[in-house]
Amino acid sequence: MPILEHTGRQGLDVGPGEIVSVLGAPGSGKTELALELAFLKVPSHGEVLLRGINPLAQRRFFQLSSRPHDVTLLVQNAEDQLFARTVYDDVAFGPRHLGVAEDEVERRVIAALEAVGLGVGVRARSPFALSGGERRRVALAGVLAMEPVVLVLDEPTANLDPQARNEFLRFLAPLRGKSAIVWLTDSAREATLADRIYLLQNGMLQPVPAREALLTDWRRLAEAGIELPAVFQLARALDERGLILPPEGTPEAMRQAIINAWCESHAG
Amino acid sequence: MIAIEDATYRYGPGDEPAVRDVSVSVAPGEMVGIVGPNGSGKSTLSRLMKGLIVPEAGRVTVDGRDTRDDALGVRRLVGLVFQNPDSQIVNSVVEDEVAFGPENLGLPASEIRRRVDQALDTVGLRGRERAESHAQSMADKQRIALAAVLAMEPRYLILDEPTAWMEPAKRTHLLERIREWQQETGGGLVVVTHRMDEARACDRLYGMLHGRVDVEGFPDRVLGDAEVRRRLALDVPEAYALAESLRAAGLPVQPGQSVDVLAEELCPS
Amino acid sequence: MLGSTPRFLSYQAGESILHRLDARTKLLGTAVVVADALIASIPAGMAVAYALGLLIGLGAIHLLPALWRTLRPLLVLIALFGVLIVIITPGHALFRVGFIVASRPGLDLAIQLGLQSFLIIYTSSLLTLTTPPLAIAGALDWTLGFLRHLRFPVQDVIAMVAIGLTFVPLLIEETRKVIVAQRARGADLGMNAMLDENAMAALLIPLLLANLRRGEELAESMDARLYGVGERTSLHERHFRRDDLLAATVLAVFTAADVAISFWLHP
Repeated sequence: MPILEHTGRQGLDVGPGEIVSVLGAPGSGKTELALELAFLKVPSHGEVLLRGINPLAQRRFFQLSSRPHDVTLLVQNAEDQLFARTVYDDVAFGPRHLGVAEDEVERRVIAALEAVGLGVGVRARSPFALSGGERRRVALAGVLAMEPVVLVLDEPTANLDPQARNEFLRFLAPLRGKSAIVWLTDSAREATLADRIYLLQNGMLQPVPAREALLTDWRRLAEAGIELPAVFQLARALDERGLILPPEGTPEAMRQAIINAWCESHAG
Repeated sequence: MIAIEDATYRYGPGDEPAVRDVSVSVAPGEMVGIVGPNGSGKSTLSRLMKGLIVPEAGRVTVDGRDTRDDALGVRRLVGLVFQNPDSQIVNSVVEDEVAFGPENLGLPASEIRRRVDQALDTVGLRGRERAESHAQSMADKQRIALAAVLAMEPRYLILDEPTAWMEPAKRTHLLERIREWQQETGGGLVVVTHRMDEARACDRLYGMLHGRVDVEGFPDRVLGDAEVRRRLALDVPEAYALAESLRAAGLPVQPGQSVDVLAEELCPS
Repeated sequence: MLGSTPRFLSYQAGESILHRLDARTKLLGTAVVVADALIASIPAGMAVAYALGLLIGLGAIHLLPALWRTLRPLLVLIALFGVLIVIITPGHALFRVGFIVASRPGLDLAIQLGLQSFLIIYTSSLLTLTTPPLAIAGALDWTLGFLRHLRFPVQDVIAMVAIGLTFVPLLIEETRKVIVAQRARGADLGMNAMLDENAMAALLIPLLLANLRRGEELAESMDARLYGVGERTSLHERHFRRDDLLAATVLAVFTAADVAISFWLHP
């Protein structure tokens, strides 16, 4: 039974413990979709259901704050929204607003900071004394500490250096298997980390094969404006020149396939 | 010639020096690259060269003028385009933004017009004179910021991550235009970047680490070492790494080309 | 919740008659319309002032629908204030509802203030919609130029105002983003948030910091381009053209009519 469901845009659903990825080219409207899924924007088509009910439909006139607190969104460049005097207070902001008791808040903050790899010493420091990458981790800790039932991530690794990007999935460890996670990205590589993938094109969602199988359909991805790993771009260029390549799913396998195909065609 | 000699600078009294005993030179007609991880002192170097800040030890001279004595003269000679266009554009109309510098110089309107048109031509934004500057894409805003500096007709041009917000096609295009500018004016060019393909295009490179010059020399030599590349946090474009690995497997490809050129090398049509 | 950016302070490029007028004409014209509104008698004088406003609006006719949409909510506000004024102004009673007395002088005042406010806001909006902030700054500079002889830093103050105006749309966008981000974390940023210092901190601190940093960087960029080194010139040579003469004539005529009607025909 999916816990979050979008009935418009040809549909999206995500169940507890799942990671679903939405893959879309820059400018395809990922942020707008993220806001709809987090009940911060009313969808223009269809509705978003939490446990089968649309919480916004019950909204009384003038009341902005009835959005469900079970659903949290990590916005793009979230590090820009830190404001508290200490890292601890900033991470505690979310859970405190949920009305959680102070000792439970403390437990959650410590656990969240640990999960994102920030040590004990960081707690009392000002968030502004940290580097950009560290601040983003503080922002992530802030949403982890809310222990949301559904977590939506809007391009969480944008503008991070390659190493930080690769580590990101690790930081979500405390929620894996429990919360439902929707990860919006423009990177095909990141999308393959999810259990299921939707392709976002012209505002519409289309399920596509997950994990390794995603890249075998690289032609469709290229059409949707997704920037492919260089090796697949090369495969496409070689394809146009008549070099026949098998449909591989991972960059390594594709690279090997290119080497094999070339060597074969030049054998002798 | 821009000459930085043994310069040291720190931003605040108790801080670690942002640059320490650094010596860098840029001659007219040269394209010099400055690479290094965040916090290595690249931006500080740009500011020193432009005369916005003055070293506490050592000195910076541009065509013989010391930035301590003649900061104004230096600022006329050196143009600096910062990294974030949103923090540079003060004017809501494109041509007014590009005209801002020449207007400050007190030039007559006809001369300002000439410079604005030429600058917009160089960056390829002719036709958008009356557009709203803040409504343009990040890539175009970066071009506007560049045009605004070009309109001051500097002798030396420092570009801090000039193509940060651009996609590949626009990137190559802009770099070509900048090279053309250099050929036409004979000016000196400094490019601060973390992209390896841009570093490779330079005549000479300085690699910064923790405020000091870690390596310097010709790109082929400096960038050939994978350990150096890693240390300087250089962003190796995927196509480059791919070409290197294909070459290691015996395929006849040259790293440093676009994917289409690689395909051409493998399957000549 | 997230609508489009309100545009009543933003310049929109265009080729209308109003766009082509010299900024100085428009600035002084706005001041004249404001004066006309303030001296106008009800109803004839005000009718003249509104006729002038309408005529001006015809000079940028394609902007009127969008402008109307933006100004509509203001009418509600003006009406609310009007009701308040009607009730609290003492004087000859028109009617009573319980112990609330609607007075005749109150009604007169409410109508007058309402009509004046709306015309002033409408005209100022037309000014900012058709004139780039720096052109307004240039016009202010010219108008207040005489203050320079009194050692008043006219140019700097005006540059600050102009740059501030230029950045209003960006600031509005940024505010929206911060509100979304904090609400996504469960913060309640509705109307009652203004009383909650934590909520306000969550909103104001990121904005303040981002803009302080931006201010520094902008200042550096202006210094780098030698702002303040000497006398500034302008790309656009400011000429008063035929259209400006026409506009000045129209303003003069309507103002004369307004004055005549308000002071001599309705003493």
